[in-house]
Amino acid sequence: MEQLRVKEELCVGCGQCTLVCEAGALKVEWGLTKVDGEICVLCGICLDFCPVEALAMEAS
Amino acid sequence: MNEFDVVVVGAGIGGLGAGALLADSGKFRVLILERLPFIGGRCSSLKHKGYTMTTAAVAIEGGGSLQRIFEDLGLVFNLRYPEPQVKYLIKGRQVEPPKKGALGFLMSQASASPDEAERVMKGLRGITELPPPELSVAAWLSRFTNDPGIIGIFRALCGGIISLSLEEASAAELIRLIQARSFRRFGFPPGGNADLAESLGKAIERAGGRLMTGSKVTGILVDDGKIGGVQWIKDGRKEQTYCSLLISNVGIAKTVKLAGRQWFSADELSRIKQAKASYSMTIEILSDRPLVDFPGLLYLPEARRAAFAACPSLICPEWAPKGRHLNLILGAPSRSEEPFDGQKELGKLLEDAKEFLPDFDQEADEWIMRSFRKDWPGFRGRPGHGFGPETSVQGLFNVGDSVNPPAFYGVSGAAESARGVTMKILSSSS
Repeated sequence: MEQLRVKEELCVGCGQCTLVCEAGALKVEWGLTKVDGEICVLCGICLDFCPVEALAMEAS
Repeated sequence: MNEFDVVVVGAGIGGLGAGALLADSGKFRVLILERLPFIGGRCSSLKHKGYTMTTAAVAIEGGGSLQRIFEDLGLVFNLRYPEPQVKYLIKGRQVEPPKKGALGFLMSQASASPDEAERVMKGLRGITELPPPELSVAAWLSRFTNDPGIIGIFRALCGGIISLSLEEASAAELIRLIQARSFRRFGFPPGGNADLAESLGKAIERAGGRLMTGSKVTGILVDDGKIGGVQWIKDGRKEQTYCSLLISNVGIAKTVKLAGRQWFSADELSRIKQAKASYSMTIEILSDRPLVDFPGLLYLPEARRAAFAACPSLICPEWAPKGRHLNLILGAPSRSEEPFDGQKELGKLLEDAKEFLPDFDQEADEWIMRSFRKDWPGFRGRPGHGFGPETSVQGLFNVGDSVNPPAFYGVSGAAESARGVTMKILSSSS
């Protein structure tokens, strides 16, 4: 199984990923992106749109 | 023979501007490589539930460097200008500054006594020599006044214009900006910031250039101190091309990383290491009714972190679904460096939103709190930092807001850097 992970050391909290997430699985909280693994459909569009490459699909 | 004469790495306003001007000259075959799926970088916009949301830049300068690039390319520069441009919320009243003498007027409105404002104005008028660059606005201002009203005006100005706190903003640079009268007029593009970027992108393609998104540059090739080419990955495939001119729009530090430190002088490397960005923060608020009652910027000198609030959908209804509005409040954190205390800094911006946008609690259906920092900052360089576009590597130039010329910053700084590099390349090629 894969899951979406936020690399907090890279994430800036710009919210670009939340704007493109159709599922509504991402939220920026106090300057960092948080993933709701229950809602995320692993489409990966957020990876393309993240300007600092702070998102990754990883084996859970 | 090389397929391209110039490769541009990064499709921000600097890269697009330089790429478009060089392609348009008819002398260069231009390739633009961009990692993201869209162009414009931090001056672009994304659609979200029918709203046009910025990728960072808020309000675009009219009559400045970007407009000059558009005019040189024969493109329509479509901005809508709010009138009045700005108001200041002072002691519970919205005050519209006069076109001339705005700063003195605002200080006199905000201060406890008119003498305080006059003292600062005298200080400003009496400047024969700029203060040393390391002197902060806070330290400079304390020579004349400790009036909280006046300090608030300067805090909002520094936050709104250069996205720095009073303690971090350089007094010399602020004075230079005031004297240069930069950013006198701003507007909002009805098609969103993305529309400006796409106009430049189309100009590049029309002139025979190529624009490739989803292309992650992995190396800038240098041969014997000269630019040799570039490598990138697209759709999982490694690609490479040769070129003798390379324009980097990914920031000076990343440029060095991609090309290899060995090609840069020790002095250059140590200055790059010390280069600082300006962070910014916004809360974008989706609502039924506008939270600001006019289409310009409402400066908030009495706020904690906020510089201004605005409702751009009043002048650009295209930015929100019918009958809805897009509002924002923008400010600078106390420090533009890590560690960033998001709860404290964004928390204070949220407190400002609740205090100064009276309908926030009833009207804000959804809001998104954003910080622009580290590798995606409000401004990649600070005004007046002294970085030029040239590097130790022959044929390698930087553009963008990490190399904005003095008295330029942000989108205008990026555009001006593009104009500078283009002129340099064109003059040395003829």
